[in-house]
Amino acid sequence: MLVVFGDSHTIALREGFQRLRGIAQLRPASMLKRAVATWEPAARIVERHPKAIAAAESIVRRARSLRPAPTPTPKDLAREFDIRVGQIDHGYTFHRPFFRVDAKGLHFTRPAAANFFRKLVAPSPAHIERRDARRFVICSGFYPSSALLSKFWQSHSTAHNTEGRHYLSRGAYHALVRDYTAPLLRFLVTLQDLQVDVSVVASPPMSPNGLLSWKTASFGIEEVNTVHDEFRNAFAAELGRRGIPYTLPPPEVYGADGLLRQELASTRKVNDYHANAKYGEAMVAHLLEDLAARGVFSTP
Amino acid sequence: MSETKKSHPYSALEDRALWRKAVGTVNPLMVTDLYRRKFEIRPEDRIVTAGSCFAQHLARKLRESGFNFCDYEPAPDLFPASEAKAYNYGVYSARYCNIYTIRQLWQTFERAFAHREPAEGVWEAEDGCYDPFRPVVEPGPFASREDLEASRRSHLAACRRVFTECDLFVFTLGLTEAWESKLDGSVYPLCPGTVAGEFDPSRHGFRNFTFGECYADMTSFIDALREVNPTVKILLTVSPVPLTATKAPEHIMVATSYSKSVLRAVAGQLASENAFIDYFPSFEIIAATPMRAMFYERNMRSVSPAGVDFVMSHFFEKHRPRADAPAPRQTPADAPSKPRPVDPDEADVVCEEMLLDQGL
Repeated sequence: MLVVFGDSHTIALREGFQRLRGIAQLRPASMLKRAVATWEPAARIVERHPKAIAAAESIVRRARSLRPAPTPTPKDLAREFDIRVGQIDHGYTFHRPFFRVDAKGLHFTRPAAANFFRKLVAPSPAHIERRDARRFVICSGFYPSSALLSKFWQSHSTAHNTEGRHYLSRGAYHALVRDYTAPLLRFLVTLQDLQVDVSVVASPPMSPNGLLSWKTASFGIEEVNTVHDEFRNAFAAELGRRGIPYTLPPPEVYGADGLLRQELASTRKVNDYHANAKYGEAMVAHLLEDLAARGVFSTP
Repeated sequence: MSETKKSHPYSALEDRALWRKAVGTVNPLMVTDLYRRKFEIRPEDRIVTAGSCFAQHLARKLRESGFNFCDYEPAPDLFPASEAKAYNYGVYSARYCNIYTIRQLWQTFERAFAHREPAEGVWEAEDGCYDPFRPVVEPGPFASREDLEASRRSHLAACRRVFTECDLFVFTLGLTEAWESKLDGSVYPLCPGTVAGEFDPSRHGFRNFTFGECYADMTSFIDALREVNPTVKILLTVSPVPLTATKAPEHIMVATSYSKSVLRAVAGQLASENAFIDYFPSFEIIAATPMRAMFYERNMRSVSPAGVDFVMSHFFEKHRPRADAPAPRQTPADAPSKPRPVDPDEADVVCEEMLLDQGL
């Protein structure tokens, strides 16, 4: 099972995933048929249904030796694997302590998050175990959340020429981001320590609709982009330092102004900074390709 | 002939003027009346601080005690408190770091008002750029020249507000020794090549300022300060912290004695000449012989927290916010036009000069 979970930006991924998959999730029996043709999904099914298809292991081995696995498309991956995508909590909650670890593994401490996660991964365990066979991707940490939006930047600025506000150097901003994302980084490092496969998927670029709230305070696009880009760079640097893989949005979702392309932005409400399902589809496809390239779907 | 008491200037001295009564027969911790203030510090007075590392103690204690210590270059909200000091947020009233010499103070003022543009503006390094005049303002180098220059512009703007808006300027004099640029005489807070930059004997030279030079620099600064801020008052102190290292030919103890003597004399001279300048004897409270060096740490250099408390107890005896004093002007951090009182921090001070020790 691949579990993609996180903050409200996961909603677009969930909608995009449904668009990409296009059909209802396949049942194990139908997956087994495909498994005969391609050994990788079979290995996953062997893992999930060891008694029913114990004999399949030898088939898988034979298949592996006889024929190379075809490169699956993101749509194939979306259809063939047990992939769960869903929001489990608000973005700000991931910037505060939000988990605990005991002998069983890692648990989400906020009741809402724990409940949503339980539903998302059912019937598998609602906590994350040591050497958990499931793969996890969290969608959080790459977006400066509500605390760092326009109001915050009325006293400080990362722009090089800003009269009337204090300049925040890149080093100082990175220090702030490091601290701000510390709970999430602790979460990721804890999962690493538990030998769990975990990575991070970025939230979308700043959307033109979300920019409206900045415009009220006369921020230029360049400054808004700098705030977002530097936040992203700082968090990516922290992940890189810890060897935690991450997936950034593909270049094609960016407009010429560095913002999310208008047609990929949510239109649900004014000042909505989320992306839409079309973006989600592109991002999930990009994510699945990235995960496949990293061997996430082929690792037993 | 009956014996009559002769009247002379010493006949009616207060006890505090007599060594035997004030010091010789008194427990040093019980010495009183060491300081008499020249002017009142009102609770609402905007206080700013600068100086050598001992000045950080004053800043911290002033704000902890309810005085209106002002920070004109505050950290943004959400900036981690644990890292604020490393980025020189809240250490002084602006992020100028330690100002060790009077020449450095005067230079900071001149730069703030665009009267001086040092020839050597940036020290390039492999991993970024350092500001020669604030080489340790952040734990690492600036990411680029633009990053450094933007930070500098912002800092100097904050300095202008420090100088123009304060009601009381507290300055702790630290050193007479400095390294200067042979190109234009700009002084560096730390010798080039020690923590950043490269030492080049053709461009960098050693200076040990004389009384005359220190006095002239301080007078220039005060005149300029009063020009932009006519009602400002000044409180001078001399740091009791000895030098970490000297480039003068004398022994470090002798060099320390020279530095402190010159600075003490300059402070005394200025305080005696100007009603708006007061001298607070933190140097004597820690370093005078009756104190038996009891407030120095084992290295005989750092001042212990108890020593800082003792110094400040004398200060607060004379400068006390009224019990019914209004809360310090709690100005919102999100309005840079208004200085922000900052939260108290731990007792550690940022002593850049100590970095010299690491390279010795």
